Amino acid sequence: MSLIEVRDLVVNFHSRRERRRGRPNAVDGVSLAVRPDETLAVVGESGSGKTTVARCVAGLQTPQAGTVLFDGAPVGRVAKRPPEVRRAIQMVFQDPAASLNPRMTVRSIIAETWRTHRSAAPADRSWDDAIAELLRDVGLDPGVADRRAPSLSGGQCQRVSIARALALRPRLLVCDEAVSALDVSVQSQILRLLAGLRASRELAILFITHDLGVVRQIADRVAVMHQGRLVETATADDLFERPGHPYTRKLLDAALDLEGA
Amino acid sequence: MTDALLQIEHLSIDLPGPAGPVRVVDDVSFAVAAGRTTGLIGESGSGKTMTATAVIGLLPAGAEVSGSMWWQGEDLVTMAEKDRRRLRGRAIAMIFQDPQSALNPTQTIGRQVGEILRRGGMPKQEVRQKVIDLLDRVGVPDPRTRHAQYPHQYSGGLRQRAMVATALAGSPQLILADEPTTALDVTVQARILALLRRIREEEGMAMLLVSHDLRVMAHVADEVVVMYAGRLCEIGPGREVLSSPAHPYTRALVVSVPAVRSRTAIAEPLPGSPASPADRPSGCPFHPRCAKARAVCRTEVPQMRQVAPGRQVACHFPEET
Ligand SMILES: Nc1ncnc2c1ncn2[C@@H]1O[C@H](COP(=O)(O)OP(=O)(O)OP(=O)(O)O)[C@@H](O)[C@H]1O
Ligand code: SF4
Ligand SMILES: [Mg+2]
Repeated sequence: MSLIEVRDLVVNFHSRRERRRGRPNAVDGVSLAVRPDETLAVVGESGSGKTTVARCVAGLQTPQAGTVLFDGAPVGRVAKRPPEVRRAIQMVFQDPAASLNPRMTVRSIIAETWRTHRSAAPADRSWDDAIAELLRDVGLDPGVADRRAPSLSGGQCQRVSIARALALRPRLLVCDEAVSALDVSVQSQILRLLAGLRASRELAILFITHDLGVVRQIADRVAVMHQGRLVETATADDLFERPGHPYTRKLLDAALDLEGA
Repeated sequence: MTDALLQIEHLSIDLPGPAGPVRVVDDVSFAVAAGRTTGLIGESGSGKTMTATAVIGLLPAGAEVSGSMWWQGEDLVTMAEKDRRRLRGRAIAMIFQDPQSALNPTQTIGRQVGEILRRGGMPKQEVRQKVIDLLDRVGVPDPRTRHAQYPHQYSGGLRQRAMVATALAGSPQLILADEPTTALDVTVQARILALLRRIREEEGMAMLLVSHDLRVMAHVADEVVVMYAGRLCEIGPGREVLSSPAHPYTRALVVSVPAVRSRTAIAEPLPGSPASPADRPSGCPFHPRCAKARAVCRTEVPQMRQVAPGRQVACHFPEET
């Protein structure tokens, strides 16, 4: 069974009057599903609706129509979700610095999530030990625990937000351009971590990105969005070897590679 | 390098920091040849933007610059501010990463593109015509209507085109472009890169392109300059450096780039984090992360030396090229 499923999702940010005048939907009838142990990448140009789909999954956006199902049961806005569902779906955003409270230390940022979700807090050892391990997992020095976001680099902030998301032992991680702004050497470290977690913890990942090279490295399946609609969903191998839709072919043709430049 | 348009020699930049000045660019030398694209590569904080900003003379207040930047027999470092202003936007123009913040939201695109022309005393009607021609050349559709629109009415890709038009208005000999396509979608990015290449060929101008995106570099840079923690690592022809890097750091960057047209495994990450110029490691700044490091790397700063024709590297134990 799917861990998360969206059915016939429709989101429109325009007023009702504008909608009657035919302003297009930001998301227009999108259906997709993520299995408990797979990485589904969503690709497409900016404005194609990728982030809006992710926000619906995370319960940060209410669709005009359609449903989001978690473990087969419909879930609504984040505030109305049972605590267990809220814990199980974690999101990592593109702009890391903006998603971390600048006045809190990294330690209190992570500890706060455990105060909210007691069930995920470490029971068998001290919180400090668990925080140190999480930071090491994302390639940070445990000493970072005492620092605040403004004194960290962009790449370090991004890893802190990934550590915070993982602290809750989620079943689904929604990554919206989570590695796009990182330098390549840091990027491969995070990708390794995510691939390892997926293999070891039954973590599903909804991975939104415009970097097709990264998609090819970590995705099991790929959904291609164009102007609010899904134009193609395929296994990663099929999509890159035998793109079915002309728009997919256009995206692949535009992508640059180091080789053959 | 007899045809160097810009020759940077031993450039160092100190910025004021909470614990005293920080050397963010340290003893950097390279040349930008006329009519060619030189790519400045490096990770966040490596000093790329500071180097480009020094050329155009827009460093933050309190910055201390030493060394020389030779431009047509004159040293930009010691040149009087009024003479630098004369160059800025005319002989040397800059395109920024984020056209959103570089463009003024309250002025029409046309007004901003034509600013340098108006300041040069060109009559109003002529400016209008020239602006429309410029927008047309950079591929803004329907420039007769669109020159009167505001930045918010332009998409990200169109705004970047408008920025390019603004830079071209002064008929520059050198364009500095800082991450000009980083904020753009791949399809838009490909079109902007093609535009920059076309314009460079048509106008024969030189470009100093700053980017952390090696794929972009491989496609547009004739020469590349690789920096780490404010220092030079490697200089050479773009294609050669990116296909057979001589410096272990360049090599680590190259193998980290995921391919689209073939399936590659996720690269073995470098240990640790990029060094910050505020606490730059002793000797070779890359030594704490380098698999090839030996004792000498911790104590002695490797100097740039030639390893093959046109290729220089700062490493005690460079790769075979
Ligand atoms: N206005 C400023 N005041 C003080 N320090 C600064 C300022 N701007 C940059 N720095 C510092 O100077 C160093 C070099 O920065 P620079 O912006 O040149 O790096 P970069 O290579 O362009 O990085 P990125 O890829 O992140 O743009 C960094 O340590 C940075 O923190
Ligand atoms: S000088 Fe030494 S530490 Fe530096 S890159 Fe070369 S081998 Fe590595
Ligand atoms: Mg920069």
